[in-house]
Amino acid sequence: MGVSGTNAVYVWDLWVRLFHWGLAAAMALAWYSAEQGIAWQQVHAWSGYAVIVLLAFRLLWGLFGSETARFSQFLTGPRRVLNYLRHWRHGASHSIGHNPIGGWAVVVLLAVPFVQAASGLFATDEILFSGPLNPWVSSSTADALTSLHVQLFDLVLALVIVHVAAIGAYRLFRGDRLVKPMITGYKDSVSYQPRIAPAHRALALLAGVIAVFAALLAAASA
Amino acid sequence: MRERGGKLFSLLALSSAAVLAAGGATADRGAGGMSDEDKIEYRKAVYKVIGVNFKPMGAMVKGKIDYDPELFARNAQRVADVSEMALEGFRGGPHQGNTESLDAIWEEWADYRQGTERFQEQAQELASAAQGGAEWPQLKKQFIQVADTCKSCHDDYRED
Ligand code: HEC
Repeated sequence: MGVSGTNAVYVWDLWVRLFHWGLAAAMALAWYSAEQGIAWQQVHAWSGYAVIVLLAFRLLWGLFGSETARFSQFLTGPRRVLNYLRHWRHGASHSIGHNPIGGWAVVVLLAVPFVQAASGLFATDEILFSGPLNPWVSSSTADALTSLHVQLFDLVLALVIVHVAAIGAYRLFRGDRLVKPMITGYKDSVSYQPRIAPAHRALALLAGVIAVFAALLAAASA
Repeated sequence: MRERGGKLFSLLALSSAAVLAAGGATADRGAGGMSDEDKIEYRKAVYKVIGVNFKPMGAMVKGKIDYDPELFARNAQRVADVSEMALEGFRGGPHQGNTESLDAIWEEWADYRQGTERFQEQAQELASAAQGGAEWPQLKKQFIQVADTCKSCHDDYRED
């Protein structure tokens, strides 16, 4: 691990970063493939599976992963969130990982795409393609989940826009550079080095998630 | 002569107007006398028939079941035939009732008609190709073309 600044600290482990950019790529691909018509349906399905696997992994990493990845480290009560917001403009403090409002943003940015992707597993276009778990629900439930899958996309898009705008606002109004640390892992002006979880734990969790998801798909198609 | 010619002309004009009006009435009767609920039920039934016949072809295209040329050709013909029948169920809308049709259909009627025609053409082409013994990869490609016309219409005109 090279050090990229005078007092740069390694805050985002490889798994958080891979998850983040992987999720962005998988969601972009899911969006693109959904717009391309029937011939791209398989790409759409696989990009959706990737979203689910990534999110499930991130949930586990939020419980067992590196210090800055853990929900317990970055989820705080409403008072701290409000206090943080009140001094947002002039607040000099740099959070080690997610700040109090950013932590809750993470929850929303994980939860909404998860509902979006999971509902797709039950969806049907009533033409040619159905999600792998579609046979498990009644056709009225499938209809409702299909509507959810289609309509929730607008919310996902809005969240992405807010997310990117917030990153821009941090840069503009506070001079915080948030993108670079999410690429390199290193953040300047942080007071201490957070604990980084071992790689084999991440790989084991990822393998477990893939195995469970594959078993689910196999059970559905059996 | 001139006068008779003029008379003849107006007679002709009158009778053709009458024929046109009668034609219009017949066309209208195609869906005439139907309540809003009837129309909705009718068009849903048409699409249901299309959907049910489309499905086994889709299963073959996706490789879920073996390609059965006879069944494929039969169903392709059915879809092509029934594709001609949906539009009557949409005339004079929007209709009140349990429907997933969007008002945009009637706001952009010309485009909706075109979508229906595109669907009919592609479905007819699939049926002809299947009966003409086209190669399977060719048929699969044409099937996807048809499915895309379904999808693009649903994307624009059917409630999500
Ligand atoms: C030109 C537009 C258009 C095309 C093309 C089209 N549909 Fe539809 N379809 C509709 C509309 C509109 C509805 C909603 C009808 C309603 O609820 O009033 C519908 C409804 C349906 C339904 C639900 C019927 C029900 O039980 O309520 C199915 C299934 C369906 N379409 C299948 C297909 C398939 C398969 C194709 C292609 C082979 C296709 N459609 C092509 C416009 C179209």
